[in-house]
Amino acid sequence: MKEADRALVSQLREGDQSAFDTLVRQYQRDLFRLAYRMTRNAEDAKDLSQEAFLRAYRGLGNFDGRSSLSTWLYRITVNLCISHLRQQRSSDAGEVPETHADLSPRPLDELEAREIHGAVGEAVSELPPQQQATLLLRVHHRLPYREIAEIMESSEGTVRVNYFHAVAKLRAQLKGLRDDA
Amino acid sequence: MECEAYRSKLLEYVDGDLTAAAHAELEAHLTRCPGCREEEHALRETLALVARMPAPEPPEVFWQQYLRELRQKVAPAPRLPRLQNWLATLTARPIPALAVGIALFLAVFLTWQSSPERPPIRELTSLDLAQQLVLSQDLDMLREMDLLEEIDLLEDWELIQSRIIEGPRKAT
Ligand SMILES: [Zn+2]
Repeated sequence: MKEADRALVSQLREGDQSAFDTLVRQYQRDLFRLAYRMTRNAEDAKDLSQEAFLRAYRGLGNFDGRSSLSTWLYRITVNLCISHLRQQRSSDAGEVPETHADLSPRPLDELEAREIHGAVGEAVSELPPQQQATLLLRVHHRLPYREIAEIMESSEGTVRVNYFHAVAKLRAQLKGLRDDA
Repeated sequence: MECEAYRSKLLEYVDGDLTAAAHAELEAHLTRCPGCREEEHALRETLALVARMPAPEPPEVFWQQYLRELRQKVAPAPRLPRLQNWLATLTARPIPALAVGIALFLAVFLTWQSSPERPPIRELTSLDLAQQLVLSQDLDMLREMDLLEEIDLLEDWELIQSRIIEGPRKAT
């Protein structure tokens, strides 16, 4: 654990309100963005990232300091998002899938930026949640495999495989978008 | 090495994750093989698209509210005994507010009754009805003492206050 983390954790354990503020201020954007890209919903992203802070605060006793604070916070957020997505998927299972704005295959450069974002978001959201989290942590949060493995509580090898599969699937889907014109 | 083997290393190549030797070898292959080169471009394009996935950039006021909500949840206000708490909330503002509200309401109602030029009746009744509804709903809530502990109630009271004060003005 880094020295700054250690100091912050001990202040938090003493119930120091300003330490809690510091914790939130320091990580709010990262956790919110991760949750947003996983859920594609700002309201859910707010709720889930706030819940992550609460769980972290309440679970301070379980924080053993073997990983960094950010790893620990990411882990809580990822777990919350994954269970949120699973819940959502199982409750959506019986429903007719929502029809989205026209995403029928067309040449990629003809798609408006909005539609491209929509198509990419859609493709990412169709990945298994573990792969989704791995991809986002790697591409957006620029974390090394070792740290992603700590967050995901798996091995570095598994993380690499997940990342590889995620990119391959996206590549195939976005290729379809381009070639089927 | 076959193209297949090179392609399985492309992601690591693009990520700068290969050893120097492996990197150089793949690079050399790419200069000779248009198929693998195209695959490389597609991978880079895919990663660039993912990297551009948007996320909102909430304004500072959002984060202030975000933090405020969290603070409330981690450190709930010390719980006074319920009756004391209830009285404290009532005396803080709502009673004067309620008194002012009722007085204003009556004043407007009486003025309306005696005024020869009545405002359009539809407008006034719907306004009154809305006020009464809001008021009675909140009074019901008031009876549920649990809710008094919610800070939201104070905001509701501010809403009622503003409606009571602003509402009749519009009507007269
Ligand atoms: Zn080749």
